[in-house]
Amino acid sequence: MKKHIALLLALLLLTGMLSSCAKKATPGTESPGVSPTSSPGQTEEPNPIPDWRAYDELIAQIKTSTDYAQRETLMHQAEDMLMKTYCIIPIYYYNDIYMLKPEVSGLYSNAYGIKYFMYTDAPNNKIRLLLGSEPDRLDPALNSTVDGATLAANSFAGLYRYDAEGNLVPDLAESHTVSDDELTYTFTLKEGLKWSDGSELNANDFVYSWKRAADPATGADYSYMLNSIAGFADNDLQVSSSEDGRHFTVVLSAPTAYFLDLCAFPTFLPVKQSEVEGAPENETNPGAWALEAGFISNGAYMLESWAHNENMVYVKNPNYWDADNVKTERLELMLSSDDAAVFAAYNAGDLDFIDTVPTDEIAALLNDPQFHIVDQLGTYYISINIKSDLFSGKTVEQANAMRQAFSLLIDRDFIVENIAQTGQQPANTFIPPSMLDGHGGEFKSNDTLYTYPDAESVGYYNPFYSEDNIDKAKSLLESAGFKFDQNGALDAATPISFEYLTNETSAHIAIAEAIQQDLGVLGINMTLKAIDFSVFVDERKAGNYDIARNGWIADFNDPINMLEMWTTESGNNDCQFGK
Amino acid sequence: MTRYLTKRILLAVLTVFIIICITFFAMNAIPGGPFNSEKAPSPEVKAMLLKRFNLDKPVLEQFRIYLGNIVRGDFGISLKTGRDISSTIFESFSVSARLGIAAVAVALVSGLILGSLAALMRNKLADRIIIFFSTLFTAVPSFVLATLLLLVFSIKLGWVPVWSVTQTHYTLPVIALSLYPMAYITRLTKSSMLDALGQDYIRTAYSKGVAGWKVIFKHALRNAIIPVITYLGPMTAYIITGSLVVESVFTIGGLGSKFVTGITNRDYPMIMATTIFLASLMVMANLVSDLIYKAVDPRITFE
Repeated sequence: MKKHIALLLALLLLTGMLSSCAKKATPGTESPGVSPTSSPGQTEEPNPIPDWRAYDELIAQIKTSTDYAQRETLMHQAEDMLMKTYCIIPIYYYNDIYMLKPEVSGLYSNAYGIKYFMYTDAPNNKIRLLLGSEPDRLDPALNSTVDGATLAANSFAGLYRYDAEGNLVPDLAESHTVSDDELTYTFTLKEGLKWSDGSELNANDFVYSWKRAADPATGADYSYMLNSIAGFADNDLQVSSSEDGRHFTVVLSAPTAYFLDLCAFPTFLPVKQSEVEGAPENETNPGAWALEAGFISNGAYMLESWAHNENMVYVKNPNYWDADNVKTERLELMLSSDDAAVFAAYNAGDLDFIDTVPTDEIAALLNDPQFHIVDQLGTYYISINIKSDLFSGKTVEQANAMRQAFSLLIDRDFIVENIAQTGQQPANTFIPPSMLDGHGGEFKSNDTLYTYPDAESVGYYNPFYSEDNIDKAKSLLESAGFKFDQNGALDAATPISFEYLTNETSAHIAIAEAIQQDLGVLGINMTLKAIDFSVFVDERKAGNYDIARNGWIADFNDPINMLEMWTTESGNNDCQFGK
Repeated sequence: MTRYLTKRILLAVLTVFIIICITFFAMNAIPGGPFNSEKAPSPEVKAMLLKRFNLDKPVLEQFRIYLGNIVRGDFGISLKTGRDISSTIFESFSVSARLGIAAVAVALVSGLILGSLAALMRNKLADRIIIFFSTLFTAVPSFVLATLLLLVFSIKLGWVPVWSVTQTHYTLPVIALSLYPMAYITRLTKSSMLDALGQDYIRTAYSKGVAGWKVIFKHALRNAIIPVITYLGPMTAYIITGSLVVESVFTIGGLGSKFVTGITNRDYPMIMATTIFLASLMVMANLVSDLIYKAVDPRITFE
């Protein structure tokens, strides 16, 4: 009898789940309460959502602009438009940390967090290091992580590479020429290039690899990085090789100031066709050739062994074109995400390099010569959903004023000093410093072409908090129709309350709590919601939030990378502009 | 007997099937997806990935396809890494099982010895020391214990490296895994040993002049071990499937972490396969222990 009851219960449970899944699978069923604020029937109600077509057109214009000075002006215009909405509230510019034993020299990293080990000098010609836990993908085209990018940069070589000063230097390329219209790049490859198995490497390998990375069937997260090349949209990339295989020609759809940067990006690294297609499951699993050690590469190192979730060993590739200058023969990688164990291994002398330390150790390490801080090209910010109910009934100007008031109330310096802790710069622009303007200068600077609204602090506002900010915020909120009581807090008749969405990482939550306190000064009621990362990303993308934690590390050194993400149709348009 | 076995095996298959159903639909009911990342891939790429793994189809259709595949022994590939699920589970299970079996052996042998000692030296100093430590080890969570072992033996004493490519050190993780079951077995053995020592047949044995050690090992311990065997079954299954904490602290590529990362990554084939594996193992362990009862105690009849 009991068994029958148990079986019945299990069946009931199952039917319940089935019906909930069926509901989920039906498209177009949206839960009420998150519906957009604009309602066509009521023309009286002011609309807080600005027309975004001008921005989309501006980005399209930037992407086809042939005059680099004009292009810079347009990009400043685009950032002005973005910042005017205050839907993006920059908090600080990212930096990156690592620890390195003093016996190791010659290691360098670039603004994208990629570390280069090939020109290091280390005891016994060996470095034991940690970049993270088990890497997802070693196929450079399929990689989408920073640790994976470092592995790719050390085991595959592309046309160009970054040197220790952050400059682009030719790697497999010997030289290149650009046509007068700046649309055709022709690279001449070095002579006698080889894969790690000793076979010849030539321009045909680049043709194959770039076409493969751009093909949607490959499923590369970063395939869009190739979208400046002609034929991308039709899956017929305009890349070709000369008959002798020494020359590689690329036709672009518009002049691209940062094209050589792209040539150093992991997605653009060459892979060997016979190796890739030799994997039996290649059709259904395009990265199948690089799932275990022993695959063919062409960079300074090749993967000798891989004990999953434990360690990896890379050894020097004697067929790398610059192998004579590669002194460190062996890279031993610990694969772990346990900060405490990693830090213990470093302190016990079992590791020479680590790029993570437990958060509570940072303060004690700041003056340690083994602790290194390097700038990273990116911004930590909060994004505000322009369609949030918070702004319903307001005009565009009032909604902007509300968001600007939020921005004024945030003490960025406190967040950097107490939470982020590694000397980050408080941010007052979305485009970070040291981003290039495309014609020889830094984008974030006052020059003949452009002066920032707050010229003195080179940005849109003074990034350092002062008590005056409270009064400014108050008058902005008053202009948006909010009333204050005699204690200077929001009147009960016009409350502001909303939810801050973040994923469950302690540092993100700590930042949210700091902001919560800052906004509380004027009686703004902000509640926190911390959820699982996978769900968080979905919710933020779909616009099911009021305010959310956000961040972007540039893929290449040009502002367009951080501006084109805000066009109406972009998959990263978390603020829901134009939607 | 055959009839009983057939029935049990059919029931076991049904149990696993129900678990497969519940896991599959529960997994699809939780929000989020496997291809969510901070930077969005292009819609074409995302659509292609969903199509490749049949995730664009209705859930019931996905379920039908999945059942068809596992009947053919195809557990698919990880959506995150592209590696074959069956071989990933096999490799990481062999690591976890090796560690786990060593830990079970250590726990069993030392637990039995310490428990018997405590019983025989009841209320003496040795008993008190043993009981103090076994109480301590049942109370301390494994992440504290594992970190403490690392601190003492790797950092302070420097006997074993925290991490090394050239030699894999299983001593500390085995100790970390075995202390809790060892402490538990010690306490179980002590109480059932005390029970056994008070029985008439022990007094009879002594009075017949049987040697002291023989009485203890042949008569008392053999009876005292029965509750330990009962505990040993599920404990073994639990330990050989790996521990997230111990694997994380000692950098071991075992099965324990696969359960957790599978879910955070929404790696659907990995979630399914680890669940099916654990469920089958548990169902089998139950069946085997029931059969062993019959062998140990002839009074038990099937049906």
